[in-house]
Parts: sequence; C-alpha cells; structure tokens
Amino acid sequence: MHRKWLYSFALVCMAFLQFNCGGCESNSDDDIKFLPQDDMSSTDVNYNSDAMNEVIGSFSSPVEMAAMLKSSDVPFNNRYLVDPDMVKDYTTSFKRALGLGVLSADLGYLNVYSKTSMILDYLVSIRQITEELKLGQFFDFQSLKRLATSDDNIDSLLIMCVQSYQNMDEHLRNNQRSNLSALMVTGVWVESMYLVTQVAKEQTTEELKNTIGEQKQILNHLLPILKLFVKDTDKNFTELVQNLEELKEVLDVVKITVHEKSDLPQRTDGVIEQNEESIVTVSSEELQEIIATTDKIRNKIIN
Amino acid sequence: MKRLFIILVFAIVAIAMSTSKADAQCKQQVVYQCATQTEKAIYLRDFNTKLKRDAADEETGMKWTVVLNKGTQYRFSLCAPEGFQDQVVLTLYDGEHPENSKPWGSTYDKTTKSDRKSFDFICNKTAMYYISIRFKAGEGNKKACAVGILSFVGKSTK
Repeated sequence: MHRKWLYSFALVCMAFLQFNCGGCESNSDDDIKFLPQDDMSSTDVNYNSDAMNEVIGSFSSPVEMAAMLKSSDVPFNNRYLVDPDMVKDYTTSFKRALGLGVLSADLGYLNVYSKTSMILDYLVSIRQITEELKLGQFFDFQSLKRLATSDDNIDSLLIMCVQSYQNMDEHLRNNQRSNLSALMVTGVWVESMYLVTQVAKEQTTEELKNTIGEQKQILNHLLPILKLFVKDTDKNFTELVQNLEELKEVLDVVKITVHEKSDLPQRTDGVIEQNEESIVTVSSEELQEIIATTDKIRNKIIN
Repeated sequence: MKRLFIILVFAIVAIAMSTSKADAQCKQQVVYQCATQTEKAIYLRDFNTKLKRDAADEETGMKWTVVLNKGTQYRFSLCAPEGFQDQVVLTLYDGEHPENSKPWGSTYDKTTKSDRKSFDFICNKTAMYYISIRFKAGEGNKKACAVGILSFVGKSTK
C-alpha cells in the first residue's frame, strides 16, 4: 500500500519538475545550426520545418518601417492606410491572418506617429480578427483602449501593441498554427513594403531606394516559408506565393554587393558600426516596377 | 494517509503555480521596465528567457534570429532582476562572426571584464542575425530570467 502511495508521489513530483522546466530551454553551441545568412543571390533559401519557426519569428517588428519613415522626416499620410472596416468581409482564417498582419503594421504606423485619435478604429478591428482566430486572450482590448484615449501613454501603448502582436505570433507558432503565423508576418511585410513604396512614389530618395531594394533579401527568406504551406487542396497559399513570386521577379533585378568598410571612425560611446556594407543598385525604372507590383499585391491581399 | 497525500498534492500544485506566476511576472515587469528605459529609442521587440545552469560547463539561455535593416541604428538593452545583472550577457552575432569568438556586439567586454547595460549597433547590411542571452561562464548557480530589448534609435548618419 505504502509503495503505491510512494509511486504516485513520485509521479506527481515528476510532473512538477516537468512543469517548472517548461521554459528552461538551452541551446548548446553544438545545437546551433546557422541559417543561410545574407544570400546575395536571387535563389530561394531552403528551410526544413525546424528552422521555419525560428525564421518566421525573426522578421521585422510591425513598427520598424514606420519608425524608419518618421526618422527620415517623412510626414504622416492616412491615405496609405487600409480601411479598418474591411475586416468585416474577411471570412476565412487565411484572410484574417493576413489582415491581422496588415492592420498590425498600420497600427504600428499610427503609434509611431502618435495618431491616437485614429488608433481606436484599428484596435476594434484587430479585436474582431483576434477573436475570430481564437487569439483574443493575447489582445487586451480594454487596456489598449484606455491607453489609446490618453495622449500621455503613447509609449506604453506602442509597447503593449507590439507585445500583443509578438505573443499572438509566438502562440501560433507553438501550437501547430505556423501557417497563420507566416500569414501574419507576410501581412506585416507587404503592408510595410507598401508604406515605404507609397512614400517613394511621391518623393524618391537614395535612402528609400536602398530600403526598398534591400527588401529583396527579406522576400528571399519569406517565400520559401510560404511555399512549405502550399498544398494542392489550398489555392489561397498557391495564389499568395504566385503573387509574391511576381514581386520577387521584379526585386531580383536589384543588385546588392557587399564591401568592407575600412574607414570607420573609432568610437568609444558604446556604438558599434558594422564594418561591412551592402551597396544597392536599382534604377528609377526598376523602382517604378517594384512600386507598381507592391501596390497590386497589397490591394489583392486586402480586398 | 490518503488525506496526507491529497494535502501533499495540493501543496506541490500550489508551489508549481506560484513559481510559474513568478516567472510570468519576471517577464512582464522586466520587459516593461527595460522597454521604457531605452530613452528616446522606439521599442521594436523583446527576447526573454529563463536561465538555469545545472552543471558548470552547461550552456544556458536561448538564441533568436532577427532581421536587421541596413542604414539603421539599433539599441540592444539587457535587463535582469536585481542581483543577476552582472551574471548575464546579451550577444549579437552571425555565421561569420561567431558568438564566442568574434561577435558583432555584446553587453560584456571580455577584455576589460566590464558590463554595459546596452550597446548600439549601426547596421550596414540587411540580413539575418542572432541574439543570445546566456549566463556568463562560471555564473548562474541560481535560476534567473533575463530580457533583451531591441529598439530603433534612428537612421544612421553617414
């Protein structure tokens, strides 16, 4: 009898240890498999499914492109943004996940430019999508709404919005819903690309040309991931991949070469400057084609 | 005996739940504090991990991949709870600049044996990089957690 109790006790103890070590993840150097790095070629990168989740999580934050635009003194323009009411017409998980990415990038844009009066409409739409995708537990609408209605809390609002996005993405990847996570990330990327190309359409600078041209690298990592989800039975992913292949074709003409920078100034202020530099070459005609193709694909995604 | 066992089970479950809650709090509080200490930089994302070293030579912590864009100055900040700040290190590296020998940047300078809370990285090449957060060699006899924050400082000026 005592043995039976002891056995049960041991089982409970094991369950306890398992519970507590859930997050004690460790990566030894031997375990680290370097992902294909800065491939300058136009060829796709091949991922196995183990590396896939890691790569999906690596893509830009939904506020980064907006931060870059604001830092370059590009004025705010609400014409670039998607109508938040559009989500009412999204009836599939595929469409909702892509839309969630698009709206997250737009929310990031509004946050960075402190447009609190417009944020609430986006929060309402994002709440609807997250509930339909069963991600509502990661989107604390009431707290976000409270922060959005107070101008003093714009930093907290931005942090909370990005964290909500990050938590949803992580949850999807950890729960065998990586296909939706990949769509979210694609939505953010396409919308960010759309924002920057729309700005370039009105006023092209070398800086913007560089930023747009370098997106070739990101698409070369994103496309192989989306291809993993293409199945004969699902024409949505097939269509999305075909559309992005079209964009890849026009981005492939962008030439990127890497040079070593030897003339870096000595710095002692905790700032490290990378001593390798990529040089982007893209003609005005090529840029116009990238802008037009991005515009076309983004409109297909949101409609 | 049966009653004693039930009490024991409840006690263990309670301890497990409180430990889990403490970990979650550590994440939430530390992330928020860390994210709001980046001065004028814009918070982009965070990397958080629990740290535990069972054997002296055991590697701890986690690594993440992150896309960094050319022409941007990023700030990498590291935050850990009171008492663990000087035991943890955040490193930025890639395949050609390995974590242990030639990383792009780190919050710990092995030469001067000094820690810094953050460092800025001016990225001149859009690519995938790695971030790791680990206990330093010889440190980590207690469980801890740590958070790295990636923030956007601005476009780099040439």
